[in-house]
Amino acid sequence: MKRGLLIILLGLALGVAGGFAAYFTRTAPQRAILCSDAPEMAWLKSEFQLTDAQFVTIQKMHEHYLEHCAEYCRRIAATNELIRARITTAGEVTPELQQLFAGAAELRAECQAHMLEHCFAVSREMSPEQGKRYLAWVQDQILVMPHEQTDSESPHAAHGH
Amino acid sequence: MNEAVPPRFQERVWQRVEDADTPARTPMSWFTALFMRPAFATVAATMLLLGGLAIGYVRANHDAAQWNEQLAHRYVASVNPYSHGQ
Repeated sequence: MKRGLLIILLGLALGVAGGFAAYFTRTAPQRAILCSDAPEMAWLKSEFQLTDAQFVTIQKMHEHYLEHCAEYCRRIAATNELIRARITTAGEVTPELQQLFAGAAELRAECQAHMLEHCFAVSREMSPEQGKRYLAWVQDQILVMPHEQTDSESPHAAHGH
Repeated sequence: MNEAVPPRFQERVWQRVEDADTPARTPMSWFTALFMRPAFATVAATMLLLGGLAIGYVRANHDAAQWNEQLAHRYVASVNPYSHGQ
């Protein structure tokens, strides 16, 4: 009687321990990425199987890109602020507002072209197969229309600046 | 007073005494007794171990996929200034 109980308790303990072991082993790569300094870049390295040399180059390109991106972010924020202020006071679509909207659209086009240029450059640093996969993935992510993206997909992670 | 006792009287009396001492077997006690047998207990323990491994693996797959998705969104957000508005 006691032996049977002991065997079951041992099975239960091994089951719990095995479950935790399976969980921590399977999630080890993701946890390592999340604990790294730049998780999104570590994810890129893992997802597109970058070599260390490719990763170093792409990371430098990314840092360089972010410097320009910060400038775009500043301009976008300033334009949005101006549009918001004019909308509050105008009460109708004035020629000035139309001009501001045209400027915002132009800025968006400029920013997207710059972003795409960066993505092309990044893909060229990857192996041909991974580069093709990266470009296909990135265009799905970047060229998505606002209404196509659900709330759960909306990235709320900080853009960085 | 001199009436003869029925045949096997003594044996039946002892049988009734024995039955009264033995608790009635409920389905629960039968189940417990079954699993307390080493052979069944070994099967149950193996199932518990496999069940634990399976639950851990399925849960890990779910979490890993979710974290991957979050990291992908973080990368997109880091290159796309308009990602907040979308």
